[in-house]
Amino acid sequence: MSEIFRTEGLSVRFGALAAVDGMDLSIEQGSIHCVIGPNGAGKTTLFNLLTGTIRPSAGRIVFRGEDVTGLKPHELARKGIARSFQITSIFPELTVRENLRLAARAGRASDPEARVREVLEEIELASKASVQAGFMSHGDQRHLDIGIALATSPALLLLDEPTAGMPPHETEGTVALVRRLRDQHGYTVILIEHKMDIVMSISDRITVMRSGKKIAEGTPTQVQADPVVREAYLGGVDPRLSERAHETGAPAEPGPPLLTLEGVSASYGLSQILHDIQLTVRGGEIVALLGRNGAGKTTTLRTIMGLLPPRRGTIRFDGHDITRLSPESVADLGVGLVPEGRRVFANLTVGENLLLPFFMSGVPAVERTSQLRRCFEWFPALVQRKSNRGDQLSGGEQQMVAVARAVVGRRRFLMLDEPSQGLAPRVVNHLAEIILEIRKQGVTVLLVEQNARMALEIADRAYVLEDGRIVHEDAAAVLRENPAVLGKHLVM
Amino acid sequence: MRSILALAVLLAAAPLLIVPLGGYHALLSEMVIFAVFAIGFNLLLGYTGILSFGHAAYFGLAGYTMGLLLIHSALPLWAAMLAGVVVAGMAAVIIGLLIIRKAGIYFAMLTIAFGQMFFFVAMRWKSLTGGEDGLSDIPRKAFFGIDLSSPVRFYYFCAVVCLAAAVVAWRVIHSRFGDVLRAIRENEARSAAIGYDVRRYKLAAFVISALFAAVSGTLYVLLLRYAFPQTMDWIRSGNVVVMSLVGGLGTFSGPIVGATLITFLSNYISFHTKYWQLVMGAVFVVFVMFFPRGIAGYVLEAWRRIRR
Repeated sequence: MSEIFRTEGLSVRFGALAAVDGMDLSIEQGSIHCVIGPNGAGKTTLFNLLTGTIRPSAGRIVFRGEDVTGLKPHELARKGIARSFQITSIFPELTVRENLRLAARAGRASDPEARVREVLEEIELASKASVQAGFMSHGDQRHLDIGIALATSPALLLLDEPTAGMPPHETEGTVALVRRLRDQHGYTVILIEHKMDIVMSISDRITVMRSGKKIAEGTPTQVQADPVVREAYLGGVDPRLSERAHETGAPAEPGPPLLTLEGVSASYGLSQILHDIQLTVRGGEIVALLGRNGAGKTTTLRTIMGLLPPRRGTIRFDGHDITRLSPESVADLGVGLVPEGRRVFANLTVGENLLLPFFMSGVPAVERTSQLRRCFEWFPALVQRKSNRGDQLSGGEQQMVAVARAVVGRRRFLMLDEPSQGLAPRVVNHLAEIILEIRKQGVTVLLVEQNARMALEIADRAYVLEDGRIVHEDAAAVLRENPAVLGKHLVM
Repeated sequence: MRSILALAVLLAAAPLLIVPLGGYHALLSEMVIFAVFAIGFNLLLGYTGILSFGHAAYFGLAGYTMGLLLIHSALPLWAAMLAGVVVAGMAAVIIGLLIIRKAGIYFAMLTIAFGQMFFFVAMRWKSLTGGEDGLSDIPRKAFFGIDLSSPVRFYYFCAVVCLAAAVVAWRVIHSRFGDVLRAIRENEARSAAIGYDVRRYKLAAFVISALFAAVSGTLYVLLLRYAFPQTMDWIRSGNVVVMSLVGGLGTFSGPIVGATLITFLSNYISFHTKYWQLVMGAVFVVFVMFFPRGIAGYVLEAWRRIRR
């Protein structure tokens, strides 16, 4: 077989972050090549580079022997590179047929109508050809998203998580579709996918990314056996952490329940994300919420915070029913959220970022100063960065600012969303110590992590989410010694 | 095509309906002239989803160019009109190339800035434009031997141009090009991802709508036989946005309904009170808040329900 597509040292930087770093890829004609990696590894950024949405800072892209580096999206599309999108991207007010016709014409099909009919059959939407695309189910829209890419008659198909947000029975249809595209029509496919059973069964080759770099590559069997890959998913962790956790330890008697979720369900539009979540966090605990990408971890935090009102169920915090409260009211009760991706304000200095929580709350200046001082005691590394702007910080420093910002202003309960994302192992360990220190100061913590090993080292208890359902709950120490459960739900 | 036929009948019959009601031909002409402006503007705002607050620049630039040529040269009317439209079109190409890469509010602000530039040139370049006084006594020459001096004849001249403009817009909307414009409005990133050069299509829509504005501007100057800086200030640019919104964005008949209604109302109300702009403002607010899809949008929906 011959190579159709390759990248050489492809890199892009966003400020201090190397989102994709020296990526070498070689794709065989007619193969299905999977790109996997933990959240934030740079997979979608890689796709954006390959399709011209982002210009690389270094490196080359070669397609069918031609250097196509730096071409614009529409130019790459005309060369024959088509993509689908992780977040469904269709023309919602047009009918399914009109959606496909636009793409078929853009792809210079000799007979666009015939191409539209072929694709309609292929994506199994022939019966819905005249339906307005925006009114279809999530699963049908996902298929249309792939169909739009197909209708341009590409030579290379990039699929960004085609099964995102799909229930298992719909997932099977999509996997069958991707398989058909290669087996019957000879398409070359690069696929980003998180569901490991799919990845392992469908791929010819797999590239594993972490922190923008390729850390492993090979056949499914090779990759599965690679210790580096397991490490990337479970995270490298300082063994002394659990000792530290023990020293600073949980209160011998966990306090009364501080946060309880009872039968909570939540949806984004048509797709239900959370199903009947039961979860309790007691005062003084560190509770970990684990699960693969797309399992519903972030949605759980957003629902607690009041950013996404649940469809059903009750959420209580410290005796108050907070199910329908606004995010501000939830925050006023002492709940802090450190969102995924840190969200440090790039134009503000570290000091200004930390003062933000006070602007609305009328805290006296004396109190403000003492809180800030305490903050810098917890995070001594931030003292000398006090006057630096947010975008001049490293990823680890940004994470510290985000955590510090969430605990100033007398938070009693802190929710952290993937705090270790994109951080070097040494920084992750430091962060873990900070979380322990925060707990020691009397703050209760709910920790969402893909780095399961780190989370389990410092947590008291853990819940495992899968497809929006709690599938496992146990003491962290038990889960730590039980790699079977971890492997089943978290790795491959 | 039924809409075009209906429009032709309406345009032909309008004087018989309006004049007995106390209207006059010049008002009818003005309504039709702004309909041309709005029909073109709808291609940009309604179908492509691009908001410009500077289209009066092309309206006024074409009017001034034609006026100057009619005053200072022996060119026939058709040639002076064509020259006005071509000059405005070229200005739109140059400005469009400079700003089309900006999106949303930034684009809208830049269109205001460029629009006001033309306004200030018209104000300051007294030797050419007559400054604040404008260009007066512009001769309304015959069009290919057809005398346009009577208000009735001039109205029918405008009506024919309006019909032609509607036919052109219809063809654009129902072409492959029009399909791509709608696709860009709905999902720009995806349009680029399947291979459309989004920037070129947006530029084309910008220039086409500016050409409609230019045609409308030449007729307006011919109607008044007078060109003045206010023909190209940003308030007039804002007016055409209002007309499009009130009529119904992205519908074929919307801009015609909106332009005629707003022109008629502002004349009628300004006849009764000097606070007419206040009343027009209130009308606009009511539409944006309670009828965001405009008159045509709601009529079309009601029609679809009845047929079901």
